[in-house]
Amino acid sequence: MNSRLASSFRDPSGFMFTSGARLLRQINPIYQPHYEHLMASRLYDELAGAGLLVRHAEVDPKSVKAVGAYKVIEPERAPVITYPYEWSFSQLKDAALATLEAHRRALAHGMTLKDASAYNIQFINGRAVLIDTLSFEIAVEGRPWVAYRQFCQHFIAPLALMAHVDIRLGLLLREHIDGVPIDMAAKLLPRRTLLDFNLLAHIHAQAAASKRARGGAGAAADRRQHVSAQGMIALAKGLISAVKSFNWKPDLTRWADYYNQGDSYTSAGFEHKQKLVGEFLKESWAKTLLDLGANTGLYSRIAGGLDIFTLSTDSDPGAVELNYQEVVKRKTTNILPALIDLTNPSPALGWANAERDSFAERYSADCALALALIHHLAISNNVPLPAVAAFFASLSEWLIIEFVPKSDPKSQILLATRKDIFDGYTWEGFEAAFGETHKIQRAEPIADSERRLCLMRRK
Amino acid sequence: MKSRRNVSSRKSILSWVLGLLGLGALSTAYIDPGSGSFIIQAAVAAILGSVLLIRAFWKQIVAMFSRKPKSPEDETPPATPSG
Repeated sequence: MNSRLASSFRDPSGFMFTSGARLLRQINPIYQPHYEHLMASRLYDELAGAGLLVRHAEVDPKSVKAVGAYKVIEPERAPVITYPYEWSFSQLKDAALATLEAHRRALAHGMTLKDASAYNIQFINGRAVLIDTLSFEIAVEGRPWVAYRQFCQHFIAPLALMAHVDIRLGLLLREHIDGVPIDMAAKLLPRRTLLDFNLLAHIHAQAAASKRARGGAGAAADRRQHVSAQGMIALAKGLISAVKSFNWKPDLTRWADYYNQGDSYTSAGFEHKQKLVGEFLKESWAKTLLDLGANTGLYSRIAGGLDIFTLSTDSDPGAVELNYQEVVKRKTTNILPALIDLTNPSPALGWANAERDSFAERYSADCALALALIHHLAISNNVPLPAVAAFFASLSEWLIIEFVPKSDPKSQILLATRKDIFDGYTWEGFEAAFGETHKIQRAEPIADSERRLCLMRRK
Repeated sequence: MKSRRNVSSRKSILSWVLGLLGLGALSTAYIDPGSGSFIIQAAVAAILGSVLLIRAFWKQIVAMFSRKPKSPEDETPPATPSG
């Protein structure tokens, strides 16, 4: 039984569907000349070889009962789908550069990218990869780049706002599913950005031109525009240097010593915790992990070293950024950092609430890792312990969780500015709440600390 | 290899012919390029294209005046008389 993906409806060239456990892409007859050019010009080979485009295999349409298909292809699958509003600054920047590099190389083969949606990029084996094989179109001499405004909305505007105003403005992508509106970006950016050629051209001038061009006369003027082949290459190169010019650096002093703060653990306790995490991961036989509150990814890297694919999440954009930089530096292929606030995870979005799946719908890991997290959920966010236990039970079969008692210095910081209304937040309360949903297999005190590390299995 | 080149060149001819015809019917573009964006794009492409052209031209001029010596002997500085 075939089932079309709810998100795959915009492009008439084809669509994604599932057939049993397989994820396939139908190519419609309208796209035939473009697909043939993509393959015959060897653009596909070049992009796939460079790790810029997802690899695919052709499948006999009859074997999967595809009706009206010109072809059916089976692309390599991403281990988990993440969305642009879940990426750190450098992840969004790398996604933009991958899009532009694919477009630039396409131009050299007589093709162009007909869309530049950030949702067409996924992180596979640690790299930003274009997953929409049908994004390429035979170029028409003189025609401007149809995806220029979309590229600016999905990449230039959010990157500029994150770099020049506030890193948290990346979350505007969650509200605006087709990218941050250019006029909004122009309003929010400081006046000094008028002196930056890239932002003057791609944001401020474009916003002004759009305002002026509304209506039929504007559309007629647009139709008269001509961009030469050299102009298209220059534009692609200009956008590449614009993207490269955006910079944002997290507050390093805040994160550099995070794991070595003396008030959480002694060095013996710190080593003991790492050893226990490794032991518990091996005991669970997990092949996939969801690290919740991963900070800069130290424990995700223990899992990565054990050949466990890890989605390494945190709610702090600085921590996710440093985690991603480390992934790039070490060329790690099995850790994917992502910006997820567990107290408000990504919801289902878009048309019929089905275009972009919620966070919980997208990733089912064998095991979840929740280190130094429970006090943030139960004390900072007031979530009752039974509700925390039920939520974790919905995420994965195995759970490695650290209990941080009220007496712990970190819990005391959270309680310093508020009334203690958490009578049930005790080891006994924790054990009773999680005992309802999980079988607690191990509960080991961490050396020189009042914290405990637990290995649990869902009942 | 030969056949691949033939396919490739046939495709280039096809894209050239389609380009000449305007390719309205065969285009699979489905997103809204946005009013006013093409005007800015054409202007930016023209500016950046000119910069690239000037840069390439400048490089050629610089190359003309800084020709490398042909043989290692030419690199030897003229002997200065001692004393």
